[in-house]
Amino acid sequence: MFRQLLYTQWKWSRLVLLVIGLAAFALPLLSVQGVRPDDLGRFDVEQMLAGVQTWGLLYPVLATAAALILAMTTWGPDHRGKHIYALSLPIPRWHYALLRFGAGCVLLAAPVAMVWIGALVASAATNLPAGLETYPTILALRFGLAALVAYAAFFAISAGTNRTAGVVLGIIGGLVVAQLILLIADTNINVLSPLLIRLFVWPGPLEIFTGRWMLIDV
Amino acid sequence: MSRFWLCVWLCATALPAPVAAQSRAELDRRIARLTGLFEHAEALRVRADSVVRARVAVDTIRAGALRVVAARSIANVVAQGVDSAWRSLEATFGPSARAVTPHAIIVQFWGQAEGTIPYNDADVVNLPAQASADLVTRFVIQHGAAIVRSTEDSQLTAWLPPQFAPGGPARDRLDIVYIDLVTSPRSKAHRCYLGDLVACRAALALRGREDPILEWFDAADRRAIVRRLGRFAGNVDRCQRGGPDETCDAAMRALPSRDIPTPLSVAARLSLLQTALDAGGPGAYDRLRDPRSVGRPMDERLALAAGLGSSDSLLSAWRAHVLAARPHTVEVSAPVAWAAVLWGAMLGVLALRSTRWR
Repeated sequence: MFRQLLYTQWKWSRLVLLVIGLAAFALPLLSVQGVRPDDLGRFDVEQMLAGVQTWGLLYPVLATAAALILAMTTWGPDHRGKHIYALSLPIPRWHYALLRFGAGCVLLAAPVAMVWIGALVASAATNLPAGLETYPTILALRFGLAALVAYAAFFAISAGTNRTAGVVLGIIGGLVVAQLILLIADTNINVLSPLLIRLFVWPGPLEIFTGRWMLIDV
Repeated sequence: MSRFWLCVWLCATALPAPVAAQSRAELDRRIARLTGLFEHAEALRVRADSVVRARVAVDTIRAGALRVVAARSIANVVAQGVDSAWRSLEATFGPSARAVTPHAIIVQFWGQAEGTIPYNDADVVNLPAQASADLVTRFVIQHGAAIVRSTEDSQLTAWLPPQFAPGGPARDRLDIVYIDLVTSPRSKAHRCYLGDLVACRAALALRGREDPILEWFDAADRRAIVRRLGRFAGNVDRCQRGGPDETCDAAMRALPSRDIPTPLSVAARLSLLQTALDAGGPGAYDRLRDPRSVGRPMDERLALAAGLGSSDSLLSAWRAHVLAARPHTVEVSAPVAWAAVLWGAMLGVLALRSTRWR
């Protein structure tokens, strides 16, 4: 049954996956375009690393986008078909959701692999001055873990009812609005920062998104 | 036209007034009056500050020759830090650490119960609220070391300004020096990274101070430095437009000496001093500032302090320490990776428990 579900999910999301895969392959190559091998050792390394770091900001964005699109395409047809197909299967709901989750994780491996291949190609094509190193595998690993966390979060929201999604979005929107009102009222109360710290600082779920997303560094 | 003549007339009548006000005697009188007012205000401030100080309950903490004053509410934490600060200062500077004796170092925490204590003294260490004893130690070491270093000869302070003190918060930050060594665009720094100790001497400003423009930089460095000076006429412009190296050389020589950058940062020089003092053990600092060594090249003075036969040994040791401190800037630690997997699994389980279609 897993193979059938994987196949249907692949059919629903292959075009989107192709676009994301191309972007994932191109990103490492684009990030090293500022490295000039003909001027080896004489260019401004700091400036070059700053360029690589700027491109690096797009890795977590791409991981989030891939996860979001995949989670939505995973549940989209089920929601549209009022879950008739799922209900007709002789398995409990949790089993069906687990199969869907697993199939999504397998498909998520494609953009991760493309980041890795792109990073390996970019590393091989770049002459670096002594002291600098390339990190294609760690970059791909970080991308994969970030995509996994984001996919799980979006999958959980998509798997619920519209009401659940509305409540989650409402809480986030409410916090942002509350913070804005507090800012306008010129108070020192900060409701967002503690929350963001809990989310992004160890052992928060989004800690993997922080840090340096550098293909080239010291 | 009548409006034009009106403007001319107004200007003609208004102009002599400010010109007359700029007479020398009037200006002197104004300066004297303002100076008097400033001195009066300053005297009032000093008196008001002393009243505030008299009201605040402070403790004096002593450790060796170190005397630290702190508000009573934070005295406990400060006392914990001062003792280890003195031990560190004594270990680094030996008998010279006693140069701190005439100074009382005032330690304040931001938002302390007694409020900010106004001191005129330069020996004030301001720390964040609820600073730890370790932070107190590091900053008292930094301040005490700067006091000790302020008594050094000019050759030593020209090489490394006294405010940069060994043993302070910058200690154990060789990772910063590593990044500096690797990312510096200067050729001497790059060659130093590759193991050229002669280049290390230039990159660390140990040699070549008599003609840094030629000794510390090559033609490409000079052009790169001049390129960042901004738009100026003359040699700067000619150099920026691809003129011969002589124009870049001349443009750099027109700069004040303080504006000529060193190939490596001051943190690198501080780390070298720290390496020399650590290698030399007790008495290293006294050997460094021995009057008989003043005037010798800086690398020889440091090697003497380190108790090493040659400056090559010292530079090799420093370079090895720096290379060993390579920071792992891009990595995914095992706990972070497992946490991501765990969070992914937990969120997945949440999806399995969803109530949809139940």
